[in-house]
Amino acid sequence: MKQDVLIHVKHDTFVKLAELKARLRKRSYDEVIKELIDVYEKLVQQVK
Amino acid sequence: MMAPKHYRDVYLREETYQKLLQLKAVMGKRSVNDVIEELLKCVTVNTVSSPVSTGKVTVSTVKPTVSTGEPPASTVSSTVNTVKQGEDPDSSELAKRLESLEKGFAELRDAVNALGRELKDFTRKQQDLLNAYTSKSDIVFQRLSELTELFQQVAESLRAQGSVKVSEEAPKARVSEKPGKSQRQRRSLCDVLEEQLAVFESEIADKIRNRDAFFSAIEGRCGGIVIEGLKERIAVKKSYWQQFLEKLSKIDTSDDERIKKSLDSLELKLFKALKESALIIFDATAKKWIFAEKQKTGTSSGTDAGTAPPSTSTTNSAVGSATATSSGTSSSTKASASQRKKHYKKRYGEEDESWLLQYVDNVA
Repeated sequence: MKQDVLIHVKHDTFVKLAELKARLRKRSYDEVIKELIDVYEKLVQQVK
Repeated sequence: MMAPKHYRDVYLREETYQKLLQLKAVMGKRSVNDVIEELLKCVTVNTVSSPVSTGKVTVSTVKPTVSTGEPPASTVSSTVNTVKQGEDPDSSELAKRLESLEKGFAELRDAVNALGRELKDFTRKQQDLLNAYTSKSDIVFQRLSELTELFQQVAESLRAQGSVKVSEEAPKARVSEKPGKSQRQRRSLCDVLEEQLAVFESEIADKIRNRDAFFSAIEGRCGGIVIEGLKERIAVKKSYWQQFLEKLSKIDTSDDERIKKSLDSLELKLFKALKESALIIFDATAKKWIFAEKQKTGTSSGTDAGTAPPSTSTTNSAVGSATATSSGTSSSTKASASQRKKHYKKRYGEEDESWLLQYVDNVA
């Protein structure tokens, strides 16, 4: 098992993440950020 | 580890953190928080949570959000909407295309589903129709087989009873209450003879089983003449027989071609049958055809059924001639023969040809 990593985010950012987490019905912030990264990568691929 | 003021703790997995770090390097940001903010600015992500959706990720552009980066509520949908704020215009066009494509796919899917349903309905209706016709055809086939069996039974019973009996019993059943049914039966038999004039046994062999009864009925009831040939019996109407004999007496040749010309088809057939059976022979001296067999007629009483035909060897005209001339009394000559003819002619009348039969009887 890999250890979780603790990061610090600004309050505003955290609020946005929390809102997204609720909307996307994710269980953790990790999943939200993963989703963000995935979509970003796809977007970059499409733009390429 | 305490978070600085206005900072919050977020736990990430190692791999996610690594990705973030990579992105940080790519984007040239100073901190992970900046990376996340950038991601949030660039992308508003909504993963597909509805089970109805296909789960595909669709990228579409929306209007740039306010500077806070807060995504508007209207952008949240069942699909993933990507917001790239005021950056690449190509991506928005691409996203539009993708969105329209998705719509097109959805419509196509609906159309295909509807088509599938219609096809199913159509198939079911066809099957129903087919079943209805199949059941009807089954009934028809069943009835047909019953009818066939019935016909076979009737045919067997007819065969068992014999065709003559059947032909006699059929009118009986119809007019059983009326008198004179036997006359009706005779008429039916005689009608056949009346119509055909001559009935050959070979022609009725497959139609009538009890042919003995048939010929005896013709002979006894209809007054017809039954000639027993070599191969078959021939029933001839009496008047037709006399007419035939009259014609025969006028033929003065044994040439087949000339005989053909002077006789019609039925007469020719009768002639050939008689000739083959050696029942008629050509008298070369008198140049006449002579009936050399005692015919069995209903009218000619006293005929001997056991009398042998003239001779099976008397097929050629020479021998026939010899038979005609040498038989009879010991002093039979041409003159006496002609006298006998005259005698019988007078006795039976000029028109009645049966004199010839009597004459031949006596000669034999």
